[in-house]
Amino acid sequence: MNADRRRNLGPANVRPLVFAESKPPAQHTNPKIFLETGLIQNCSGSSYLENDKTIIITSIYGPRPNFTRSFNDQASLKVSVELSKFLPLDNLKDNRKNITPDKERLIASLESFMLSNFQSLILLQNYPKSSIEIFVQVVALNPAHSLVYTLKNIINGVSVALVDSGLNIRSVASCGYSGSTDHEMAVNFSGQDEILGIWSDFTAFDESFDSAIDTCEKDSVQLRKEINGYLLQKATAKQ
Amino acid sequence: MSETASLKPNKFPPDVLARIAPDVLLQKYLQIGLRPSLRKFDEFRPVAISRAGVGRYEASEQNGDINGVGSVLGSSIVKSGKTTAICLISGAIVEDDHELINDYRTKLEKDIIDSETHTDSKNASVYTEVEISRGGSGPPNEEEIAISHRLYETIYHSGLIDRDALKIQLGYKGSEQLEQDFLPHTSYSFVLYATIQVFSRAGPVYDLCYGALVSALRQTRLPAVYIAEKRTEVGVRRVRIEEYDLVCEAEKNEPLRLNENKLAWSSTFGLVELDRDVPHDEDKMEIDTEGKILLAELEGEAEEDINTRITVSSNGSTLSGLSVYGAAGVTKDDLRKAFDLASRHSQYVLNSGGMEM
Repeated sequence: MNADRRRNLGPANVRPLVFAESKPPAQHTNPKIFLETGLIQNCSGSSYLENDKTIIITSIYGPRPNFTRSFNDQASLKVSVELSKFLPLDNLKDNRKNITPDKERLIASLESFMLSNFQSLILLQNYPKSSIEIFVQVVALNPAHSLVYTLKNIINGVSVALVDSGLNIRSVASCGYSGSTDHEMAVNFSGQDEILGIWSDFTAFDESFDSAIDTCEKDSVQLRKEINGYLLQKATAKQ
Repeated sequence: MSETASLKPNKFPPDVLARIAPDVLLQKYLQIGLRPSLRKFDEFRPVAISRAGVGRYEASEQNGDINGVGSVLGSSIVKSGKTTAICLISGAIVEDDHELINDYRTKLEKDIIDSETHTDSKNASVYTEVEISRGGSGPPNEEEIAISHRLYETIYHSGLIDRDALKIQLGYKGSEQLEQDFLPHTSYSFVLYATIQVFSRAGPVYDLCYGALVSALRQTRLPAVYIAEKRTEVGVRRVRIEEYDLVCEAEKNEPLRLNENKLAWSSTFGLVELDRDVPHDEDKMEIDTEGKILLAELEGEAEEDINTRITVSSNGSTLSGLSVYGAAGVTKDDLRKAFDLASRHSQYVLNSGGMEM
């Protein structure tokens, strides 16, 4: 038997707690967000985002020297998402398949989506021979929040942390969300109407797809206003 | 033609010097009666303990939706200075006869414990995992492993949790107790797990983690458990094995019983000697301590360079734990001073600092 001696895991033959069915969580979302930057000291930039009891903490480390390769002309970017142990993941299921996803696969797909988003947003070529790491920790998760809605929160949290870190970015990204009973979509916009990434469960590109993008854009513009307002207020308060 | 070689002194800002010559920086500060963290020698950082309120049964007005789902049974947030620790507690169920044997045997085989300890104890503990956020991923590092194990051992030996407190009283769905005749032959207990996430680490974090763990345990509520309809009996020759589906009630629960008198708060001190050889400014020389200086709650790179550490846990009146690292040259007086400071600090934290949530 393989024992992981680095972690204090406890006995092997335990049964997980099975809870009796309780009332389903209310499926409403409160769009109010609480943002705070710079709470974590030992990193380049950090943000704390709270939306309707979902708590996401982002910390950005870098640019740090990168010794993995002999030479790279631009910074290597790494994104790690960590869903805190014991979080209820039931609601993070895919809209089409009604199964609770495997945690590791879920994290991997979130990470790769965010990596492609932020690779084109951060001016990596300004940081040769270095590495930039983004750590996202989901500390608490509102059971009513779906995967796509959580993704929106995570991306917005990272955007604000990026500004706090002072890394060169092309613009402040903001992610909008549109959800209906059949389809969900999150679109990440940089400034000037540019789409950084789309996460959706649409199979056909029909009218509803177009209208979902429009809804996302409206949401994103609204959010950008809020984020810019907060950052401006923070910047002027410093002086 | 004569050339004179001249040496220009290099000047470093404190944060750079802390990295290249932590001992020199520390001595420079100590000579003028200060610490690199700008606190007094015996000054602790303020501690704030609050509920995280994300547990399943921790119903409160503000957190409506987040309670009632998931398997978090207790939670807490503890802040000390800028450093924050978030602790979540969860559990699992284990058959009594199996837990001890299996856990014990694997650990024994792997040389994690020796056969003297962990036999027939009435104490239980929490399997703890500590994560210190510092911009790296992968397996836990040395410090995290050490703290996790130390927390487990501390809780275990302090007797804070009785094994009996984790015993499951099986019942019917609803409220009635199960009749004696229908009780299964095996008995079950809860196993507790904890994860502690630490943000903005500035110095040794054991004290903070211990505080977060204990505060979360005080908020922990254990679910009521009943046997679901299904029951299978498997008979292989004469050996009969019973299997039950154990289900936790969605709403009904009771608080985890702790031995409150075993509650303590831990304080870590560094012990450092004033080095008279480090060049100093005569005019600025303010401190006239002979011997060693006790620094409460180390913080920052220069202070972490101190190798002699004394950790004292106390509940304000009685001493419940003591560990000394790098003990060479630690005198009775130093220990006495550490006990005194630690017990005063514990008294303050346990009585007024918000432990009563």
